[in-house]
Amino acid sequence: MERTDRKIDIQALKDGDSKAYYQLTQIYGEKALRIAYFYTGNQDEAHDIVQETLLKVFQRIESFRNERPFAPWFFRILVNTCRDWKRNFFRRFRRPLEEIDSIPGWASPATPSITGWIRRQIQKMPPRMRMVFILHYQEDFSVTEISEILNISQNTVRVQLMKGRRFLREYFEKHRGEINHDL
Amino acid sequence: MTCKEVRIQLANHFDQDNWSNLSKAILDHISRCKDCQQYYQMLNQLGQGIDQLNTNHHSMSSAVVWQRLAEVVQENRLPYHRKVLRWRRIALSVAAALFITVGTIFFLRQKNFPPSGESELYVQFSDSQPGTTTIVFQSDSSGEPIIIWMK
Repeated sequence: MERTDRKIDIQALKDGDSKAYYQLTQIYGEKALRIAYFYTGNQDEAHDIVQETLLKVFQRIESFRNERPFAPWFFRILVNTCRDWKRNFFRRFRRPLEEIDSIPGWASPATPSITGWIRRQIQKMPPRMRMVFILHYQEDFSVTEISEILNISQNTVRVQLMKGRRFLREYFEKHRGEINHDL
Repeated sequence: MTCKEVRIQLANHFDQDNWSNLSKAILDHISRCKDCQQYYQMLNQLGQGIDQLNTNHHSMSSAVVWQRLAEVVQENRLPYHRKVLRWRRIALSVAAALFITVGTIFFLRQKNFPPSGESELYVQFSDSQPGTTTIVFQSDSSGEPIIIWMK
């Protein structure tokens, strides 16, 4: 996270420089979109969440202290926006990952992989476990970084990761025959 | 070691994402037992799948989308402090209006004004102080005359 932090010109963002806005979307946009997508399971919602996150970031950037690391601050806003989004009553009933197979490269029907199956199972995890799992295994955030972003202890992060792996293992053990047949 | 014990230990290693310290007893058992070997391979397959989640990150959006998003966000941008000030101003106005309304009602009730029931306004000439004229408001409910004007 530190490496990308250096590329962000916080002062330019505070000054309202349009190039800085675009630069921010370039650096964090894709990552934010992937996290939102795997959390909500819907591409349109993921776009809305990222847009809302960027709006919040720009509205609050003046209260951000320059000496603090930017990435955890940014991703905390993203994660909170994802949570708020999911709390909406009507969105609870939406079918998750409706177009996982239609996104190029994610799970190509020509080359079915266990990764595609895992991505679908991640959607069935409880929200906190799902977010920790996505941040760690999908986006390569360390345990320390995740604890900063989610504002939880490192031990909680480790426990959630362990439970996530157990969740996948137990499901895989039960349905191994069907899964291997599909792959 | 029984097959059950080996599988429990393998599952624990998998859950903790730690394959480095598999005991020799487990490895020996796996090399001999075909079922446990298959179970070990299954866990490895799943583990590799999890490890591959961070690869093949294909772009979900084009640069045009991000450019447009940055523009939309900038168009809607309202500096945080200005937004807070706007809300603070609204809150203060509402509070002031409430205070004035409630205060006025409270004050009027305390003074019993306008008085309820029958009331009377009359002019009084004092015998003890000749030349003094007083206009008095007499309310039935309070009984106390209120001097409005005196000369």
